[in-house]
Amino acid sequence: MTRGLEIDCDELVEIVTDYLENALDPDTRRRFTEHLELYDGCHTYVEQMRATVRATGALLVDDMRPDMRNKLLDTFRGWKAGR
Amino acid sequence: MLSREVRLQLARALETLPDRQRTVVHLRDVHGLDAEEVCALLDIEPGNQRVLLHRGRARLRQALEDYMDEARA
Repeated sequence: MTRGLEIDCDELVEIVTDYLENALDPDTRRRFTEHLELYDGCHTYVEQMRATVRATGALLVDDMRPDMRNKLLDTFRGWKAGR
Repeated sequence: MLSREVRLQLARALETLPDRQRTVVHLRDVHGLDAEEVCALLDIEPGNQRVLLHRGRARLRQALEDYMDEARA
């Protein structure tokens, strides 16, 4: 990302996970938070992403049926074996 | 506390993600593993892990938004 330039709304959507993961460089992070202060829609978007992560975390493992759990484990095995 | 309907929509959306996105979202957000653990487990680079996580989360967010819009309509 170019130093010193503002980020636009489309860019913000692309890097929101990097922001939530604390993976942005300090300069980009600063411009990200400045953007959030200016654009309500983007602020809402980031809050929706946080809410989505929280909601996903509420899908407890115990709720998974045994066949879903097995499918997940198979996905792992297949993925690693197929690479 | 999530309503039963929201849980169902979210679980469905999660199950329909492409395999790699679903696996990363499952491990990170359902099981609560951290990024380093997921990278080690799947033998992927941190940047790749974030891209998969991002795409998966973005689709789940969209699924929830679509559901909320429908529920309001």
